Amino acid sequence: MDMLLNGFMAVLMPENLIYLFGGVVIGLVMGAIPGLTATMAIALIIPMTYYITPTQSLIMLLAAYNAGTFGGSMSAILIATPGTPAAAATVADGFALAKQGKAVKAIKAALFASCFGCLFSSVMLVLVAQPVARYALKFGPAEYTVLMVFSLTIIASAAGRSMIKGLIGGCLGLLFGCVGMDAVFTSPRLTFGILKLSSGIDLMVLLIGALAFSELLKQVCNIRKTTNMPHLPAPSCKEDSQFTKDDLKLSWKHWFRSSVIGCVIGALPGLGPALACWVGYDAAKRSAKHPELFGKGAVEGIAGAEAANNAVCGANMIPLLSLGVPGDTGAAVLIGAFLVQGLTPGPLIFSESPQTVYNVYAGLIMCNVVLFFVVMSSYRLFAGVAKLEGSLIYPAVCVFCVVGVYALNRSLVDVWLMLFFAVIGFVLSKFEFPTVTMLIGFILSPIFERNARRALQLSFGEYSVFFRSPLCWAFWAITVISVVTILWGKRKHKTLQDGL
Amino acid sequence: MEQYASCFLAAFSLALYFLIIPWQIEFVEGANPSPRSFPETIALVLFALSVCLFVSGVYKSKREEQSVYSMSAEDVKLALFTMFVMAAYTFSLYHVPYIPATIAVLALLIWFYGQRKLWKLGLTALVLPPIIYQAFAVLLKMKLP
Repeated sequence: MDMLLNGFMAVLMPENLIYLFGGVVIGLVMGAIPGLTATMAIALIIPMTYYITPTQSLIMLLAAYNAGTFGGSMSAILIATPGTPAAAATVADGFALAKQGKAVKAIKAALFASCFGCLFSSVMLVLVAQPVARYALKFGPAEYTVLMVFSLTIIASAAGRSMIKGLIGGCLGLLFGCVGMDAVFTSPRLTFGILKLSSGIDLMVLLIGALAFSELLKQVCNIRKTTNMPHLPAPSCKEDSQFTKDDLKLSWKHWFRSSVIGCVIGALPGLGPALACWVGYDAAKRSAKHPELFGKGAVEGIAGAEAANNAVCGANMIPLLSLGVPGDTGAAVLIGAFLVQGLTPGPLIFSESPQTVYNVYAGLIMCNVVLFFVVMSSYRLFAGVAKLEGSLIYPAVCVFCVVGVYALNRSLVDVWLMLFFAVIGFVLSKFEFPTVTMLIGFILSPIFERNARRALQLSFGEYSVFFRSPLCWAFWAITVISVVTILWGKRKHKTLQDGL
Repeated sequence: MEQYASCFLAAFSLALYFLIIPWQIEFVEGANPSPRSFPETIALVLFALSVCLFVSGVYKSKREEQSVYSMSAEDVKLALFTMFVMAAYTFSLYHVPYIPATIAVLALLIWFYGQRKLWKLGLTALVLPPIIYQAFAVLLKMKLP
């Protein structure tokens, strides 16, 4: 408890609060611009965090992640275009309310639900992460290897429509992770004589190239296909812009239910906020007194979807901090931020830098407070942000990607590598191979290989080492359950999208 | 189209297993697992997956579920132009200072992406590079090219 209080003290220091505020603003703006996701916001912010303290860096990124997830609903409500996939379920009721002149009410409903969802999951994170991490310290290399297999099940979730293509992306990521010096024999692997590659491919180079820049190239292709933005009517009375007591009565149960749903989905690797919003929305619709109003401007619909998707932000830090396993792609990118700061997410982080972890907890909780005040004071601006022209935004992001990658090692070779991965990412995504799975494979590759080799060396090459301990068997069982759950989640997601 | 992709991937995985890995990764005698083990396993899995992709492509084409890929000439033109400009920009950074190179690239891209309001083009191209420069070079104390 003392450490958490110290965490709050640290976060509330003006120099840290500025970064928290900056993260919220950048996340909101990027989330509100259709095509730029919360994950992309983190990827583009990481280069700005190389030279700041771990606490400042992590609270800024978490704030951007949380605010980016919420920012997507601003454009969902104001221009009927979800800024992020997590805001897809908010479009129906949010935009319906906006068309009735109740855009401000819809934004407030989304904001209250989002803040509640993230606060709820942050409390769960504080309560659950450390006990799980304490248990995880008992794992040996064999257990860790099977745990990494379990983590690779995220690929099944991020794979999009074709599991095979997702797995191919994952394999390419695992392969890129092999580039560099061999950890045991210190011989170069797949470096093609390029000295720079002997230290391996930097995560940030691959991340910005394959995820952010390739996504940008995709968006650029559609830049000339502009759509007319809808004109929203002005509120007819004062109540149209207020979140009233009646709205609160209608919403609070959905906040709780959807927060629990979001926490469960966030804590399981691979499911993510895009599914959470639909499951939360569906649960709200099923339990509502007037389900027929859903899709026509029901505040409960917004409450259900928004509480669920933002609850994922805190909850997916549970597997990340306690096991080193990313909960979804946003959390996978956050691993990069931890590594840049010299921290390795996983059970050891609680003994190596416990105060940083508690600062992260406090930052996650405080970012909701900052998000609340920022949105309440600036929501009118976001109609303009959501309508910013791509012809101005995308070139700016292009040059920012270059300077961000250059900043990593002050090397233009990194920029060339980033462009190489951008081409790979663009071609893969054009053929519907999800680039996110490549990133996940790349992140997990060294941990997976290191532990697998260590386990095999200790057992003199016996592959049965991965089936010896009860813990290994438990992880194999969880892996199977995870794959089944993800496949179920995909089917459910598709059914809900088709049905709602 | 999926069949072509799978053939390319199968060829790549075979090249990886038989050519690239033996050429690029030293063989260590008696090592178990050796530095080659993990990449070789990946190559084999990649080959198996490309076979699966081929089969699913054939199955889909029979059921007429094959995806229609949006690789129009216009798409390729815009993406290629962006990549070409960014490559030229990166190359220019070896010789030209950051701010003028960035102003030129921004103006070119903004124009090419269809922005014809000169004040918007000029404002973005002229204001943004000094801001980025200030943020990185002054605030974060980093030296830009």
